[in-house]
Amino acid sequence: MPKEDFLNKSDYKTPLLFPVRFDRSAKTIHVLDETKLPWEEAYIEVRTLPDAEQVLYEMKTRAFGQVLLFLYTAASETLGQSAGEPETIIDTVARRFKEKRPTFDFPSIAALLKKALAHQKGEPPLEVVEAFIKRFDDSRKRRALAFAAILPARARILTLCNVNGELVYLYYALKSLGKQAHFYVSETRPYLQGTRLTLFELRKEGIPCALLCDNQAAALMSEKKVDTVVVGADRVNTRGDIINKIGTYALARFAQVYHVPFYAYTQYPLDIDIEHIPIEQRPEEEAFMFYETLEPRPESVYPNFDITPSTYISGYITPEGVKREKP
Amino acid sequence: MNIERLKGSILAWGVLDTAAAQYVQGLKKTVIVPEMRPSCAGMFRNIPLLTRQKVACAYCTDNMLGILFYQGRIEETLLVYSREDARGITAPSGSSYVSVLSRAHGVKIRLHKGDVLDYNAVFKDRDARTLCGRTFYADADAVTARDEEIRWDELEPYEKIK
Repeated sequence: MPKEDFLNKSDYKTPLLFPVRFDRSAKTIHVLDETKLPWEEAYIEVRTLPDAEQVLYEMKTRAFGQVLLFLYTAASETLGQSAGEPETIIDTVARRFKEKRPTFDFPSIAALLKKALAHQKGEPPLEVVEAFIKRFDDSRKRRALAFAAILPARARILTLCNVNGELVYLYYALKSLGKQAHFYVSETRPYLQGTRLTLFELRKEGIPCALLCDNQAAALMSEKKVDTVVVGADRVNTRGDIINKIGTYALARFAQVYHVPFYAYTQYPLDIDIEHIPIEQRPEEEAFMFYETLEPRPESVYPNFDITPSTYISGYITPEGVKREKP
Repeated sequence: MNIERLKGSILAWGVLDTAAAQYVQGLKKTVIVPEMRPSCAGMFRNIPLLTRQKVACAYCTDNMLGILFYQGRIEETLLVYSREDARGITAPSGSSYVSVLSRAHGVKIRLHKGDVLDYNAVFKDRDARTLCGRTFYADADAVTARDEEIRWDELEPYEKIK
């Protein structure tokens, strides 16, 4: 597949590339209900900010999906508002979203949206949002090519959770360079985003992949079956420390012990102390997801994210390309 | 349970027997009991055993161990294995995950030789394609869960339960 074909390709089968869409005629946001995957591709209709908050809190969408949800919610809430008010509305949406998902950086996305609105003065917010999303998607494809360029000809890649189509882009980018890939997907308990989302979308695209339990990652790396580990990042600071789905830090430590390069998809680094960002604690009962009956249920902890210091990160896959030292 | 409540905890990995349970009971600390996929032996064997022994337990999924080590919440790791020889031990799938994290954070490993268990006979799940017997993908490829061999030098410093 030539590079130009990859950049122009649009016939992807995975709904996770753009899991949230806006229906202009119905003024409704359609959110792919990720909690129903892999068994059903169903969408939830979101018409109000409270609808969006509920969908967000229940983790019907996350990662890039929650970014899209924020952008579309902010844009539709500003419809019909007079000049000067959109910025206040955007900040309100960001604040309320952050209350539901405290670890993710909605205020920074809000700042970017306000900047885009100022830059495209006079354009309707929805047009600005669509252009913003298009620019980000183009950068996803470019960074896929940049990352593919440094991977071996037969890349065995270990990942966890889900990065909304970035691995699908990576696979086709590798193909355009005449390379091959096989993905090992860590199931990512308790929500099983690895199992239900990443394995789902890779299989849908016919991409070679295999599933593993989270605790098998160390053994897999010790057996030299992994060439690279790649993860997402919900937060990153300018030093290169990241916050990502629970289980990420352990993978980084194993990668260092077994000399496996460890990369993270990052964007919008901030000059902050990563330890000051709150780590979301989900309700205890969610730690037992997929258990049907448990009597009595033990006490549980459920930190939803963990911190990986930059010491353990080989490089960052950013919208500007692959960076080794800092994002 | 708020994670802040876990201080100076004991991590218990492997299929605990009565001796292991009595050992942790004597420590009078909260015991972190990971799920232990794919078998979920942590949930279905260790939690009930420790609860009967009136040991305070905190359940977590296996992938939460990283942050617990990172935040210094684990004082000691109890690793129950099934076999040993001159090279090292044979322990359940995931034991390398636990032993590498323990050593990386300077947490002492306490070893105990437990029972040899036929996982296929006792537990429903063999790999990540199923959970509690529920199938996610019948035809997907999955990494087979099997016992892991860990060398003695990879466990240092360790002690055995007396």
